Amino acid sequence: MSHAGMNALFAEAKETEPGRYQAHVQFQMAGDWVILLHVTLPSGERLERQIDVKGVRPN
Amino acid sequence: MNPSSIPVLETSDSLPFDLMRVPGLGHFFRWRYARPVLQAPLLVLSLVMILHGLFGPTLAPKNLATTLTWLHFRGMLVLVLLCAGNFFCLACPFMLVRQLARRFRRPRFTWPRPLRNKWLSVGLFVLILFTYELFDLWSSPWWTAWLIVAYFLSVLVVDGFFKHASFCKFVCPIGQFNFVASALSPFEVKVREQDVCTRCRTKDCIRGRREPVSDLVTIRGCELALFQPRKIGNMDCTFCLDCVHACPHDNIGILSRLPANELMVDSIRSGIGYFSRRKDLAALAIVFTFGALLNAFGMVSPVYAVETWLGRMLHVNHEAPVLGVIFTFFLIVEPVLLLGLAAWLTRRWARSPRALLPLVVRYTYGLVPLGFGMWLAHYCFHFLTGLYTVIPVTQNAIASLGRPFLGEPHWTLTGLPANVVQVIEIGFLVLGFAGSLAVTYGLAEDDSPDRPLRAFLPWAAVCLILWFASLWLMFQPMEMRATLMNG
Repeated sequence: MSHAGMNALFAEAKETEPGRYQAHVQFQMAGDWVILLHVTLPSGERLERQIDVKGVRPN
Repeated sequence: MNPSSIPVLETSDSLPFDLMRVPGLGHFFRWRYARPVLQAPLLVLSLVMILHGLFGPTLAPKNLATTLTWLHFRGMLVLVLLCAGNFFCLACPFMLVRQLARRFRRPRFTWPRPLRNKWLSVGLFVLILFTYELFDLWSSPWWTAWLIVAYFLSVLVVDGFFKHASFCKFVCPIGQFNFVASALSPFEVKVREQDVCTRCRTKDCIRGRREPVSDLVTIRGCELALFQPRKIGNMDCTFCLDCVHACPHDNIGILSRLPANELMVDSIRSGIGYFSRRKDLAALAIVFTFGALLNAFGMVSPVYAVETWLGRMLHVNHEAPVLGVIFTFFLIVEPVLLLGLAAWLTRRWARSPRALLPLVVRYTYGLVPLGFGMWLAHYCFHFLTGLYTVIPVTQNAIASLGRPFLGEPHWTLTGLPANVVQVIEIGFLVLGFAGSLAVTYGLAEDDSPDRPLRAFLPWAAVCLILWFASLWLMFQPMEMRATLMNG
């Protein structure tokens, strides 16, 4: 979440077909979430990407 | 004040526990450099937070400025206030910078008489709560860093021009929060034996010690104008221990006492006067109590529905006016209605001789435990559920410098499970409710000795309403949004 210290969720993405990865996370509360991708390339190089998911609404 | 209604704490048989008598601790506190030694690490930490806030990751959960300020500092602050006393003011890093600055520039002015009250600091307290919501400070390392910088600059400006501890006593919003909350603390800086003070001729605790020839102050007396023999409670006491160092008779300790008892006492207090005559202090207690609910309201789902509805009603799409309406309701309309009605009923039922406003002022202090319970529940939720997050955030900060000697960040480290923390939260709310009932009953006994129950009931109803509101807030689904509407 965008608030420091709010519960973080973790999931490992699995390769469903060549070059395509899928992971399941269930947001535990409404609000602004941030998905941080930690990627290790075959060369060993590490990447980090951030995806903002704003305004998640309660069920 | 009816003396029989004040619980007797000190008898010759049961002397209060004195932290200054604890081996090692007392020796440390008596050491002249105890305060700077406590302040220095916090000053270094503040500088690290400023730098990381300005130049580190922009995502709040990965930044030391936001993590340490909004989780760890706030959580530890309320817990230390609950378990010990105002020790965070003792270790305040802003005062260390002030002391260093005063070596180069001595202040020449005295704080203006019209501002020698809490009105300015009450306004600043509200302003901080307002900007916290408006700028989503909890999600912005950059704004958080600038808030810390602004604090340092304010201290330097105020105490650079004005003598004594003007900033602490009349300006600092965090200090005012600590002063009010420390009414619930189990310890107080206090004289051990009044007789010793009666015989004392030098009054160094307030005057300070001076060089005999040059008349230069070598050890400060109380900068907050609290004369120890007539000091009651923790209001305005920063635990700076200047009085401890100045007292030539070693007659000042950090003594245990019954928390919240000082809220029932209405004797004249050194540097403060009577609580019952201080409208500004009552306003501070109102902002402290109702602000606790308001601050928690800002993090639950219903606030967004209310803001959207208000935005439509007011035909505005910016957050500031909407927040203004919400703040006006929580901090002015709601207290005026609840406290005004309770005071009116107290006058009618208990035939209290006091007028309406003095009654409100008198009983408002009874709500402080409830407010503190809510602050505890709220801040400890963030602190405990995010307890270990400081570890990966620090690891990440060090790794970003190119020397990951603490290892790769363990982002899976978070904190205690929310369901465990929720039980603790309920405990704090129950504690606050019980404290408020006890204090308001004590005030009712004192105010209307013939009809204490009649005087108490309206205030008990106010406590019950606020307590239910606190519980309702706590069980609302949380929703943390960094942006709202178009703001």
